[in-house]
Amino acid sequence: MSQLDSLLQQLRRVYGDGPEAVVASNLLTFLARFDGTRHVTVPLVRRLCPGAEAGQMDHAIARVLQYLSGDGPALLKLSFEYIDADDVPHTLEDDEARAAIDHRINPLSGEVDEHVRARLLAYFDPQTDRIRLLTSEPRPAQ
Amino acid sequence: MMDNAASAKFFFALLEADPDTRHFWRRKTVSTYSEFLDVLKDDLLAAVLRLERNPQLHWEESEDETTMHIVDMLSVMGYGASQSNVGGNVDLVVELQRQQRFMWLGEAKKFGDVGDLREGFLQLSTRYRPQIADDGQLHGGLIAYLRRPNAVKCVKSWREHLPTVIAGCAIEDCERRGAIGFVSSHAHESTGLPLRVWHVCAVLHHDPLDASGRSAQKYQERRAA
Repeated sequence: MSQLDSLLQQLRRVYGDGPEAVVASNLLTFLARFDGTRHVTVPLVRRLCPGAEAGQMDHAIARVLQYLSGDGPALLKLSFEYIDADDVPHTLEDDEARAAIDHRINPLSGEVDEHVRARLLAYFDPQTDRIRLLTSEPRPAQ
Repeated sequence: MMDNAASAKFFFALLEADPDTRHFWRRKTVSTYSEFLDVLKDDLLAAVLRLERNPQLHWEESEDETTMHIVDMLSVMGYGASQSNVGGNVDLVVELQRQQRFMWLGEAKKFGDVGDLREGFLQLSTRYRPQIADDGQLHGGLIAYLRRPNAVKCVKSWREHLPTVIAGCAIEDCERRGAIGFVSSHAHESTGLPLRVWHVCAVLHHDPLDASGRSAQKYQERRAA
């Protein structure tokens, strides 16, 4: 069994016939094809999954992002950008992200900002080499 | 303009609303062994509760098959979880790699009688080498798969038997599991450090006594055994 199949099988064992395995497969196929992709967000994954446009699969998408960014697969890395008032993105270091998420600290001003989470872009950075390895492995005939 | 669904506000609300993803941020931001252990125990309990929701699906499984479900559930939560060899044949290895590597070892046993758990406990406490935590203690777990009735009574019998297995073993109540769990502590033989073991009973007994259950052959055979 290829590593990709093994990964999808693990999702199926936990979530049965739910959409999680399909979401994961669609996302990884997309990332293998468009390996310049740098920001994997919930809206992006929605666009890759028929029927997900209005948010019906958001929980499945969150589960898949959680799994693929986990220590096992390690195919995605959680990252954050702060989008300022001029729509300019500022990449956050881990400690800045924690301060913003946990303590509502605005990374630019250093002040408490109750609305900071709404201006943080939560995205996942694909680990391209690992994804390439995973998706280039030959798969047995389905 | 950023899509609202791409914001951290939206994403974290989404995570919070699903028991499977609720602890995502806690796992991502673990910085000490104590934090790792705290969230792992919450997640391990969630995995056990999930098994218990459908005990009929796990009735005829082997120890390894049931443990594999726990491995799968912890893996999709984001842990590096496996059934693998660490200094022997430990059943469950759970890891998170952050600024440092955090690792927890668990032994899983079918709880036929206290003798089964005795062997599992001795394997955990004398064969394997748990990681030394920031609190200067070792931590591990013993998961007991119980397919007999009256889990409270079964766990009580094990809890009372354990001090006869290891001299000087202290027993504490377990908040997470109430009367079907507890924590033991004793001096680890090799290191001399305290080894705290979380004893968790997974209640997998299933014997329906409604009309359908009374007449079904598989349940009749089970009762006769």
